[in-house]
Amino acid sequence: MAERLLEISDLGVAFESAERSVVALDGVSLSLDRGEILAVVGESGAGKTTLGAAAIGLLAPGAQITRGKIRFDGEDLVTAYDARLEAVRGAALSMIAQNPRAALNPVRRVGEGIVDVLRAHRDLGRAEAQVAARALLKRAGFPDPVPIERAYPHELSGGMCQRAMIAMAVACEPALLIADEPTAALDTASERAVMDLLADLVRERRMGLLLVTHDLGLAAHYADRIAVMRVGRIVEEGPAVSTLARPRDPYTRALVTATPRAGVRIDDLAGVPLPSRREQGPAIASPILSVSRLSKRFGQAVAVDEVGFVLARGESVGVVGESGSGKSTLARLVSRLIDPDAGRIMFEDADIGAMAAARFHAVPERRRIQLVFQDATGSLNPRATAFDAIADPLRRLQGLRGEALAARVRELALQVQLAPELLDRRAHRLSGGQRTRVGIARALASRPDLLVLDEPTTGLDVSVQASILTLLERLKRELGLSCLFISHDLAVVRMMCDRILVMREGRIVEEGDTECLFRAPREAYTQRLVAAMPEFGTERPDWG
Amino acid sequence: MRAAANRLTRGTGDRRRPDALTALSGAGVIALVAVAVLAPWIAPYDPLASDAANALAPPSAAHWAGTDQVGRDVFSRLIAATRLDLAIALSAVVASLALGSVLGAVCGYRGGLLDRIVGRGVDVLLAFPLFILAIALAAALGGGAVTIVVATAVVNLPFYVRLTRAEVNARAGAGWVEAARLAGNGPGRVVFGVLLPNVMPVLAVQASLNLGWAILNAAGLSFLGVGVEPPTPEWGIMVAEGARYLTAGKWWLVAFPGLALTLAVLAFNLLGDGLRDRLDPRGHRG
Repeated sequence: MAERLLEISDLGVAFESAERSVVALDGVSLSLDRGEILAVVGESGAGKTTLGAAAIGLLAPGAQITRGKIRFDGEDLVTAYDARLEAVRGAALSMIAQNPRAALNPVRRVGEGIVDVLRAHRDLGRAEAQVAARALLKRAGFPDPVPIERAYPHELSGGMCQRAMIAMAVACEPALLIADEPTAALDTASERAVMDLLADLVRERRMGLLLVTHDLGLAAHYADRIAVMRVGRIVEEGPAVSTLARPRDPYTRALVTATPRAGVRIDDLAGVPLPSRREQGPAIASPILSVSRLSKRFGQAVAVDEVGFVLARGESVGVVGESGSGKSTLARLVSRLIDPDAGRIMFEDADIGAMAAARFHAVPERRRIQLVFQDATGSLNPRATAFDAIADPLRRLQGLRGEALAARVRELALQVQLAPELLDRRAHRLSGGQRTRVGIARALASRPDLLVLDEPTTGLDVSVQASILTLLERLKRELGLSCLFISHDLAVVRMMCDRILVMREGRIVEEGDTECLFRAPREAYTQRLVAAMPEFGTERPDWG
Repeated sequence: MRAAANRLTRGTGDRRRPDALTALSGAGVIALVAVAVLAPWIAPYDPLASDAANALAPPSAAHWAGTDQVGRDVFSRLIAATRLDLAIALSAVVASLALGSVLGAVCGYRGGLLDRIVGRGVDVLLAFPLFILAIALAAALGGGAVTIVVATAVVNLPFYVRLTRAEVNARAGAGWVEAARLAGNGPGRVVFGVLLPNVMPVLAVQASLNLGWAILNAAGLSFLGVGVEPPTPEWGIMVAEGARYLTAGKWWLVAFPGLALTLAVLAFNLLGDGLRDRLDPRGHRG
């Protein structure tokens, strides 16, 4: 058994279609030893996923290997016959997909799925396979595997599904595991459980793990080596911690700089000086928003439970918490898209919580409270151009028409750094970052005083996220906006906000000034969230 | 090398196939409309002028589709009937589309009591066999072209209400709808200015498929004698009248109107199918 498990040399892959051929991988070489974790990082379009899929012989339809070699355990996979590949796959190579729920068969119980895999690749009887499956689930962090075995995928949480998926992937003791963004669909606590399990299994069973991820923090913490990809090429490769601490390649350096993490301020992210903050006089200390005992339930589920907080004029308050903690519901309540069941929302002197959401469009406060949506793509009317999207609030809330309208739209586009020629495009012809800019321009169009931001940078590459965050900070300072910033990403909130509210199961469990809260979190829940923040770039962090 | 590499990939299928059928049916629809619009100018004879001396003549160079029992030119009558049948079908479809989409959109967005009342009303309409319901309506209202339009429109209404309601309801919670609300659009503007335009392509497909059915429905009612009255040229009446002479071997009286009816229904249905395939996101290539 050789130490070298996977050896890819000068690999080229292109996506061929009738009209054109797009190069996805352009001369990639890398190697992976047994018991080693190699992280392949980069932004979308870098070719990370294609590399992972090529290594396991599962390229997407239309992808062609144009040159190079993939040697797995000394055997050339490029020239291997289909039948041989089929045998190798699953037994010697295994894959963990991004979305575990989609990868598990929805009509098979989890235990049955593992038994199927075991029996397909090993000469086991049903009873033996069941015993083995139970042991695997136990190893995957389910102390009582019996209910999990009997569960269907939809009955398990995302994190549980992913751990079950890992149990299935390691069932035949594969030598090589490919994990493509294994935690992208999970929140921070499940992310750590899944990654700890993977890392332990790799060490314990001397497997090789190719970890495909966009998350530098994850790579720094779990990988031995890291390969940074950009448009189909590896620009830098080396030991994970030292590479990220002292990147040699300018692209790696830019990626590291753009990643929000402890100790980085928004001004560092920008790279250019931001306007100084407005001085806060005593006259503007009166709150712009005060929420008290706000509750909202959906059927039986309590989404927001007696929440209260105050937002001072010109202040930025962050709301953090894991998925399902009620953050987004709070954002929609405050921006008056849905009605609360109980409680008050005071905007200056107006009791806006008492005004029906269905009629809020006609209230003067509508102009003054705006929201930036989480999903920039889904929040743009597929039939409307960027111009229409930005012009809509100007027409309705400010009564602008004709040349005045067009001039204001252009001014807003300039403000959010959106090229004016993009204004004629519909959403599907804009990039993710451009869509986010349109969403921000639309929210700012009516010159609001309170801006609610619901995870505005989710799904964006770090470099795009950095530019959007910088833009938001600049606008906030220039326009003196008050912001309610919803995010699951503590590093982002830390840079953007003066104060933090920590939400869990619909309640605010902790509240405090940003720096105090991050330095000395009181609640165990907050401590866990803070501990899960990525920290790299200096030395090996202690994630305790 | 290339062949070997191919084995690492799964099949590469080009999903776009030439859509000759849709193009052909589109051309057929255009031809039908052209005939309908230009009917008085292209008909070789007056469709109502009888010529007893020349009755029941088989197709010839002078009378391409023969003549009927009172010597009227069947070809000219077919052309005149195209205009009437298309006009009836189009009016009926436009009426049910207009009323159904408005009703469905409001119900789909607002829900509540109105939605429940309309929904049950639609269920009641659908509980009857549609053609029987149309016959009953037409008989109750008395004959004539307007009657057929009303009967066909009422019978079609449930489909537009349901379709629009479902499509609007599925989109009512979308981010872009909430964004429109944030931008100060009231419910009316959200439903008719934002949601309905996004549903229109789906409704257009339904309307196109429905046109074929409406033509058949109009002809059927006239055939049964509850629609347009003779001697007005109409495909259904022509088939009904010609049927009496079929046993005498005068096949052209039934065959040509039947053929016209078949081609018209086929053209609209195939066009609708083609449009649906084109609009179906699963058929789209990126």
